[in-house]
Amino acid sequence: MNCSHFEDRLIDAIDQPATDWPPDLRSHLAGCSSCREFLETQQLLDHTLASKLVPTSPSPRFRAAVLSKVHSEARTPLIEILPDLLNLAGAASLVAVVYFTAPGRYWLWLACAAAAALVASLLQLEEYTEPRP
Amino acid sequence: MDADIQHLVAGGHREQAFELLLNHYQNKVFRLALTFLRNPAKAEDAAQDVFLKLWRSLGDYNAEASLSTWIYAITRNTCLNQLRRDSYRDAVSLTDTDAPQPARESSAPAALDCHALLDSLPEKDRHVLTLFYLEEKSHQEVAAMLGRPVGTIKSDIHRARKAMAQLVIRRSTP
Repeated sequence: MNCSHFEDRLIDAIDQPATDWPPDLRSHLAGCSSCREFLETQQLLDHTLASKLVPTSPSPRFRAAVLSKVHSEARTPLIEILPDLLNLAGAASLVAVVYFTAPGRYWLWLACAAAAALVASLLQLEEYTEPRP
Repeated sequence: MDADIQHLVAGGHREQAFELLLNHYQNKVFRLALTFLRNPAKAEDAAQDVFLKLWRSLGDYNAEASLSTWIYAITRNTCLNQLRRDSYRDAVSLTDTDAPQPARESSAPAALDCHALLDSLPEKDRHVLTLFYLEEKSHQEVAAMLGRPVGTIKSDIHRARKAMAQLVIRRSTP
């Protein structure tokens, strides 16, 4: 087996204690200066990269910036809810007109239909008035 | 944590789910973006875009893929689009620390410019190796972040570590 093979095994073994390494790997290492140099370099690289590449975090204002963008996105412009407002006003007007003008018993059915339209409008509108995060 | 977020989404509590998601994933999304973009300001902008996209589509999340897989995929795509838009590459700006250097009794070089070494690696190797150390040597986490099988990531990290050590030895040999 050549040194490249042992280098591969050293990379696999490097994160474990040297006492746990297979005997043939340890005996090769004892007699091979090239593999010892590879191991020392690998250990130095490991230590240096682990200490230089520390887990970083975004700036303290990151969270506020994200939530601000989300809030402004969630805030619906008036123009977008205008159709629903008109729908609501129309349904309310219909209830009033039917109540005061419809003859006989038909007014009750018409009032129920108009009231249903009113409730539907209110439910539709509710999605724009959710509490913000 | 993912289960809690999924439960809140399923229950229609989008805002609470998003806050939990933001708390849990903001650092990981930022680090992944930083690995791709190599500039903290750009990484932070990209991470903000990622969370805005997550907010928009959180209500449609159906839990078929794991939450982290979905978030990391959006992060990767956002960063790759950013890189396509902006070919300018800034220098790596990862945080330095004053951690002590290991005691040396060998012929290995005393000081390593790890940023220059990482830059000398192919981009794919640089990504996996940077994330490997940032994520405390977790192959599983790197695989999840890059959306690749764990076995492939193990093999890539192994090859990159070996290549880097050989490069250092070559450079230090007179």
